[in-house]
Amino acid sequence: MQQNEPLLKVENLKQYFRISSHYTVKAVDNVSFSLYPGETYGLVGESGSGKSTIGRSIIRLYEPTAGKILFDGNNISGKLTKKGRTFLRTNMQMIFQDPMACLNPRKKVGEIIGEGLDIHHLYNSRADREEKIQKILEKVGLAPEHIDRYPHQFSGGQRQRVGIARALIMNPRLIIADECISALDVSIQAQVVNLMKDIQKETNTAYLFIAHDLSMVKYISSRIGVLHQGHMLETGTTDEIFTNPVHPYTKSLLSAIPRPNPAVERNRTILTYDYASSGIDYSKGTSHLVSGTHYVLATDDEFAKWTK
Amino acid sequence: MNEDYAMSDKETVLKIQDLSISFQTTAGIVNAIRGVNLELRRGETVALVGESGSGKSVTTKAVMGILAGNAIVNSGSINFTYNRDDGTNVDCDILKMKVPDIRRHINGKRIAMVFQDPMTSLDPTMNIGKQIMEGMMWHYHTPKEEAYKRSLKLLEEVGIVDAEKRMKNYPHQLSGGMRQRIVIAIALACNPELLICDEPTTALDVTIQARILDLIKKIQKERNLSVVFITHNLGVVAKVADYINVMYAGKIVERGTVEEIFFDPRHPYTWGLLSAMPDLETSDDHLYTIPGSPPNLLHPVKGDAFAPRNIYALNIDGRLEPPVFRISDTHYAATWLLDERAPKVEMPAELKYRIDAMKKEAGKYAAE
Repeated sequence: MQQNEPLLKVENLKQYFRISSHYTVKAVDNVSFSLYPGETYGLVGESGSGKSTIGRSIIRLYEPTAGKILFDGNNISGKLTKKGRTFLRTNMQMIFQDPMACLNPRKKVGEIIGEGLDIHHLYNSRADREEKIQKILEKVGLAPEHIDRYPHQFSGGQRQRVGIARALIMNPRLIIADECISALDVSIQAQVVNLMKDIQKETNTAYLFIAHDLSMVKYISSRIGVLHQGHMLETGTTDEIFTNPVHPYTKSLLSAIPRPNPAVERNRTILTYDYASSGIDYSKGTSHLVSGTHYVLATDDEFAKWTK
Repeated sequence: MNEDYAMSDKETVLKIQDLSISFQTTAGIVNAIRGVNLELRRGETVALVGESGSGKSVTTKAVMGILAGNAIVNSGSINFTYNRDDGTNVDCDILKMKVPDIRRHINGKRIAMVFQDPMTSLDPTMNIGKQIMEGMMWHYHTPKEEAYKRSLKLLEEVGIVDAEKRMKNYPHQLSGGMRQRIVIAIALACNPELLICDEPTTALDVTIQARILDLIKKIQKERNLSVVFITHNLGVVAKVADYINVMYAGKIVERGTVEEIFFDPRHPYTWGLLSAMPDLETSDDHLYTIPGSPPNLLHPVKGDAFAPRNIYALNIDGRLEPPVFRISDTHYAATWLLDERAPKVEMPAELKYRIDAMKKEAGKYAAE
């Protein structure tokens, strides 16, 4: 679909956490994917599969153990120069899961949103700063008088809007949304997702959308990556993954999505998948092309068996 | 199958009538529950659905007698029927009982609760075995050896392998799904008759969620448990519930069987809830949202609480609270749209389209 250069290119990313001299958690192991300007890439997987870790490694909240991360052609893995850090911090932003925990309770909304501007000196005058904040507030659907309120004075959906406003004010090229709607109610989820879609249309921002709610991921993403135990098992466009899942884990994940239809729910069987007894060894697999942009991690034998 | 629910003469386990609860806060009195009626029969599941702040949890907390200290019960009764150990039936009003009596005779023993977050509802300093045995030993004075044996059985029942080994584990050593299984085992330890599940799968991911729901359903069938299920996920509701109660601003605005709510919703709020959730077929540009936010119950509600967010609101909604209209023997809704003088309003076209698709899909299963 997109022939242009990817905005973000992750190659063989590894993120290990050394617990003790003889035990290392391999949270992310050899993950590669790329993300194009203006698109939404969904990362799905169960808890502990490493999806949040990938997001945090990319934005450099962690030091990646190995691998290469290219952001807009610049290498942002390894040691960052001061310039590189500034580039990263202004062009990539993150929206967190819990909107109460990620906002400083002692700061007013205006200060929270304007903090990025202050740090990077992105305004000419007080009036300019004020205007920028007001504009963003309006964009995310908050009122101008909200600028002098504290986070606890907002509802959950409004707080998440503040979180989005804080990310947007930097005019980022990429926003990493880490389970940003999981803590919200159904109707509020819909509001926030609509807002994110509108903003994307307007600013051509790319999203890395991390979530475990597959129906929402399907709705918002154009491409999806399925993670399990730190390995990227399958990636492709949303259609490719949902209509033709190849990996048994993807199949079991899709079969478990709750459907708002009582007749279907009562008759549904969930495919079970147990890595330990499945005989699949992720570290032996290599990436196989299924069709188009649809890749699956498998050994040659497994690939032949699954695509048969 | 709906008909026999309606006709069934199963014994009523829980009957909440005209329950009204307020909270005394520094900002004033919050009228959180404004007249809730609910009935649950043996072996059935009733789901409470609604946004946060609609009063789902407060209702169940009242049933457990664990309301916060600043709660004021304005009116109503909660009748709970249970079998005593000697076989006699006891009918009691939980709101009139003294707290020590509730703790001794009801909590854990007859009504058990599964909470949302398994990490905070388990004691981190106590091993799993002790936590499961605790209730049995306290309520029934079960000897330790017997309690241990029964705990092992319970762990197997909730699908934990290596039960013997797990008994010695502490909560932090287990995964989220496993912890929730333990919480369910603890809830079942004293053979309760009513199980209250307060968003038991919200913190879990889809594969584990599906397994936990299957487990709750299986145990319910085996033990003929009555279940109150609180959730805002309609997919979960579709799976577990027999009846659905939709709550809004401290009131039940629509209730009916699962089929009635999903295939023939009547209240505009239910329409909104059903439309807002994307299913796998949704590909529209925008998800439907319910405009605005729930009312602040600090202020008295005039007329229909949902009216300010309701595009179908009638003139009368601003002045008078709608009565509950009967649609069928099991299906009721509180909206003026059902009055015979009201203009005829159809549900949104997209929702109608989706329900038709759902019915078609359901038909396929029925044909099989």
